[in-house]
Amino acid sequence: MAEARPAGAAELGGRVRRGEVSARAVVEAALARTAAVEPALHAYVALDAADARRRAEAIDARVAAGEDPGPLAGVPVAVKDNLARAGRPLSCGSRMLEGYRSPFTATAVERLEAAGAVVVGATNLDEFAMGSSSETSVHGPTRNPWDPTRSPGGSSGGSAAAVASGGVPLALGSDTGGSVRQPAAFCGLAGLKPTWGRVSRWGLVAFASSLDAVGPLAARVEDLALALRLIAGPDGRDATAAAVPVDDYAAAVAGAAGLRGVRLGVVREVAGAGLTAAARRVWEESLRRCTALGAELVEVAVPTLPGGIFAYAVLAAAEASTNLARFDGVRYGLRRPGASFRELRSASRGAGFGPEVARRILLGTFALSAGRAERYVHRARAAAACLRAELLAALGRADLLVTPTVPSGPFPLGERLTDPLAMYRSDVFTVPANLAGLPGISVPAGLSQDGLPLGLQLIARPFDEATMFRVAGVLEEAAAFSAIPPFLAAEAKR
Amino acid sequence: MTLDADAVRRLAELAGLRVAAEDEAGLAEALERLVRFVERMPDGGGAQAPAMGVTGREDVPGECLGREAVLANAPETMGGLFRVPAVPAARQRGGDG
Repeated sequence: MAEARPAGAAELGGRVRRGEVSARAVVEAALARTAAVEPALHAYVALDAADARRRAEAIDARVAAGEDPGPLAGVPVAVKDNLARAGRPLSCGSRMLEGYRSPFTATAVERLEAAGAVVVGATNLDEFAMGSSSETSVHGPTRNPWDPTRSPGGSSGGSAAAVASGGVPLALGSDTGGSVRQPAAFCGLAGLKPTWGRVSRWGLVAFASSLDAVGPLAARVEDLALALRLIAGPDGRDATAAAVPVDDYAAAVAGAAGLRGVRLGVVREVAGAGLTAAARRVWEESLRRCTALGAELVEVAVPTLPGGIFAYAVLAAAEASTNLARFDGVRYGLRRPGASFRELRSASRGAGFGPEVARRILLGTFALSAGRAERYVHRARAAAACLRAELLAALGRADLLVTPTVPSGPFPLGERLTDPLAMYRSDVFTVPANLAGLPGISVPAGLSQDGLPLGLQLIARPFDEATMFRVAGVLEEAAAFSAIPPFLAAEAKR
Repeated sequence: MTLDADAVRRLAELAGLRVAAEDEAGLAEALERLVRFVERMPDGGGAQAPAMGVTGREDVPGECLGREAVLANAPETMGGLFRVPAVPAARQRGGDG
């Protein structure tokens, strides 16, 4: 009998480990499902079917030899195309990296593979992860499996669509201002931005280094928990990956029962943040559910929260303008001729970067230029510091903070592409965790009247992902979010 | 604060990013809107940059990529090096600094 919801990563890994199903069969099913939905969704930049089959067969050989390939044995995963994989093209959704093949593999990917995961392909994204809709990619837009006329969110929209369409149970993304949590919310998934320093960024193409984080997306909280335990921890190749003990997050999810004794901080500023009617209804329902589960709700003030998007816009642009200076047409990527090095560099970059990336580089250059840094960059840093202090003070009164993940549901493709300010505004609840370096998770909270998913965000103290997972697991169960995209439901009935 | 096409040309030069002449006016308008937008940034009251509470490892030299791996991605190489236009010649012409 067809199961409505595809099996999760932990479950599939367990079956392969126990020899109940072959990795090859699991990967074959993922490739078949992906091939069926890909023309409608365009979740991937590239599929690596042959490689995935070879890896799956190697996993099966290990199981047959009595070895344990790890908790993700034979589990198909998708990887955002800004995370490097040795010998593979890496585009970041940009023309700028034309012809580039990475000489190494990102630590987070390497660690998932070491646990038995099989990467099936690289997923689409906004160019250099700059956007919230997955529309600015040179490869064209990705579509939302819940409604293909709408955006899956971004910038990890390809990863979200790959999971939500039932192709893979787990994917990696990156989150600089909400780029994992917002697409997770828009696609009815769970998505995690870990504490800054929790997960190595080695092999993640840098966008804004003080904000960037690698994070997983999955249909189930337990799969995110498993993925975080596997990818977290120090890394000799990334000096910012902290040597902080990594907990058994899956145990935190499994061991949770109710929310009695849990104090949740309800951020006061949510009320004035312009939620759509559907977002408001789902937000209020979520709070009632938390109370019914025994949580104590306390109102907390984070006055700087609504202003976070402005500080974010400045800092992200300033850091992007310096990080992206490495693309010069000399060492890798696109090259256009020029009579001098300067002309060559300027022509190559002009031809390689799309309009959104160019706007951000110019804004960052403006904000960093002589006489302006004080007014823009220093002020943005002060606002971020103030926001962090406010969030930590609120987390002194509550175990976790709750907000909607996004003030609205998924928007139609094209709607915000010509309005970058509206795009920034949709990140109002997600950028604070990046600016403050705190962990945040989005869990499915409900559906709008037209059947589109909305998320609830939890924010925790630094490195306290365990508390976040404990509560996220309870909320996931209580929300009973068993909904799947309409076309998946139609297939399950057949 | 008004950003015009001249300001965009100057920023593009600083950023090493060629902007087509026909795009200058549109970019100036877009940047002007963005700058007005970020002007609404809250005053952090002089708060200091956040300490992220992360103690990373010591910054020590490690292994790096070999020459062959590095040059494999270069659009143009010559004699085991990256190839760029002749800088000294360009300087004589006053074209490069």
